[in-house]
Amino acid sequence: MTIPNLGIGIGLRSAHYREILTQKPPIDWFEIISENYMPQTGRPMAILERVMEDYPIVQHGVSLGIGSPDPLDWDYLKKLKSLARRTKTPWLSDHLCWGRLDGSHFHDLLPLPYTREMVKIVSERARVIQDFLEIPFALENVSSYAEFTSSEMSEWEFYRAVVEEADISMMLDVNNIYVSSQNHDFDPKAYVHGLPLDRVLQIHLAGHTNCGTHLLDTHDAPVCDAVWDLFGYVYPKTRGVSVLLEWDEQFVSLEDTWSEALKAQKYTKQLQEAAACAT
Amino acid sequence: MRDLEWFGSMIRRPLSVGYVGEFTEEEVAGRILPGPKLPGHNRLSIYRQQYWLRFFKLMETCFPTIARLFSSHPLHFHLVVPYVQAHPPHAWSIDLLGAQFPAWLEATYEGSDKPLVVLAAQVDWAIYEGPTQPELPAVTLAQAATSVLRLQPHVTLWHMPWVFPPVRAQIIERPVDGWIDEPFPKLDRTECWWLLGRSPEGAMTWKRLSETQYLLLHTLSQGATLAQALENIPESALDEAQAGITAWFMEWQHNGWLTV
Repeated sequence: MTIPNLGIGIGLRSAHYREILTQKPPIDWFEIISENYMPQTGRPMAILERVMEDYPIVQHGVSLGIGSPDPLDWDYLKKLKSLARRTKTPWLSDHLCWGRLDGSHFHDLLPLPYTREMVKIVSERARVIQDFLEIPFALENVSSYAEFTSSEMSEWEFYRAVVEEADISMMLDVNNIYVSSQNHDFDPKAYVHGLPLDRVLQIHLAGHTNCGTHLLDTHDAPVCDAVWDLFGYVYPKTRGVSVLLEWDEQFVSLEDTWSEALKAQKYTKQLQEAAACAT
Repeated sequence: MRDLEWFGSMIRRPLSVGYVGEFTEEEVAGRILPGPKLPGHNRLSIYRQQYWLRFFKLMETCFPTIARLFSSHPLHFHLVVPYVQAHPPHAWSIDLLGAQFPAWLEATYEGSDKPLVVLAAQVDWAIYEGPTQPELPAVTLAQAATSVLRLQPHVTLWHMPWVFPPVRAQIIERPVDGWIDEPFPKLDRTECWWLLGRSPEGAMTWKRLSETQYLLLHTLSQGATLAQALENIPESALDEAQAGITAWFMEWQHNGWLTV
């Protein structure tokens, strides 16, 4: 299946509903948090229906918790699939993390131990999910602040093993690579080198907060220069995929959010121009 | 998986007052690697803080009146922590975290202001969840005479011992800790009746009702024809109901508050 390059997008957030519906800005596409629309009722769904008339929508989830001690939640997956059919999302993503235990949710993207056992558990589940959803499924690397001593491999070796054994795609969050590289003291380019980048179908960009002792993935600020540099390093290696700016706190205007996202054009255009020259 | 069960049990431990969530080195017992700037136990604490701060912030958003009645610190430590421990989030949607909070307050809160606190929590929750409630097909004028009518899921009816909605509006204008040194606006102790529902534009809005309107809508909320609703009106209010029902119905129908 060919994965389309949708261009540059931003997250669809309620803070911008009015501007989007009234101004219909020339944004390439929107990403939604699946869980915000999964009930498929009320005002959020009514607005999404209107946005879908003018823009491609891609679903990104936060509550799957694929590596959780609890088994997969089939009620959740059925609702996810139902929404996916309605939005016609070309692919669907969630995080390479865990978040459920004893039937309750942490509502956080918690780190996994990078072990062979966990590769097996997560890759088997990911394969089942992709088969069930009947569209490409991607897992995203998360920002992390702690690492288990039981880990048997690096994060990128773990990520690679999971997506290859499951035969799924990657949603590569460049900000998360950078945040984790600072928190765990590794070379972010080594991380990138260790990945099967032909599996990347989308890239996330975002801002973070420097807390002094660690970086926190807060999605509440512009993308920092170091993350743009890393994006410039990664993007050509993907041969051109959809790019999305996440901004979830301390919202700024739609115009300013879109301006920040458009900074990615500096890198995406270079690749397009290089491709044009090659032909 | 044992690592994850241990990790989860650790970060669910409530933060101590002052929002400190530090573990000791012994508690982490070599399960978490040290980082470039933080030892393992401090790194685990980041997740513990994130876990609780996320819920504190969400509960302030879901329950803006309660947050201001109590202020942030008592809200977090005297209400949210015991509530989340009693009702850990079982839903995949974090938005449902507060769904049992009004009932939990009713069952556990013992302050002398309990009736007001419980009402405030119920109102806050109705306003928070209203926008996501389903919109069922609106009743048409043609269906008015004979159909069994119901209220839309986003419409709730309120019988209050105080004129609460305008006071609530004043209270939530200020920041969460904005009333610590100031008295709250005075509550008018007048019995009153209200409808809370989504407007055609999608905003949650109040409509003050007469007692007769409230009684009619209350009957409709259980599923009834207009004629059946009128039958439930006490003799003393029947003239008012019969004189007003056509205009009232037109308003309720225009606002999309009724379904069949």
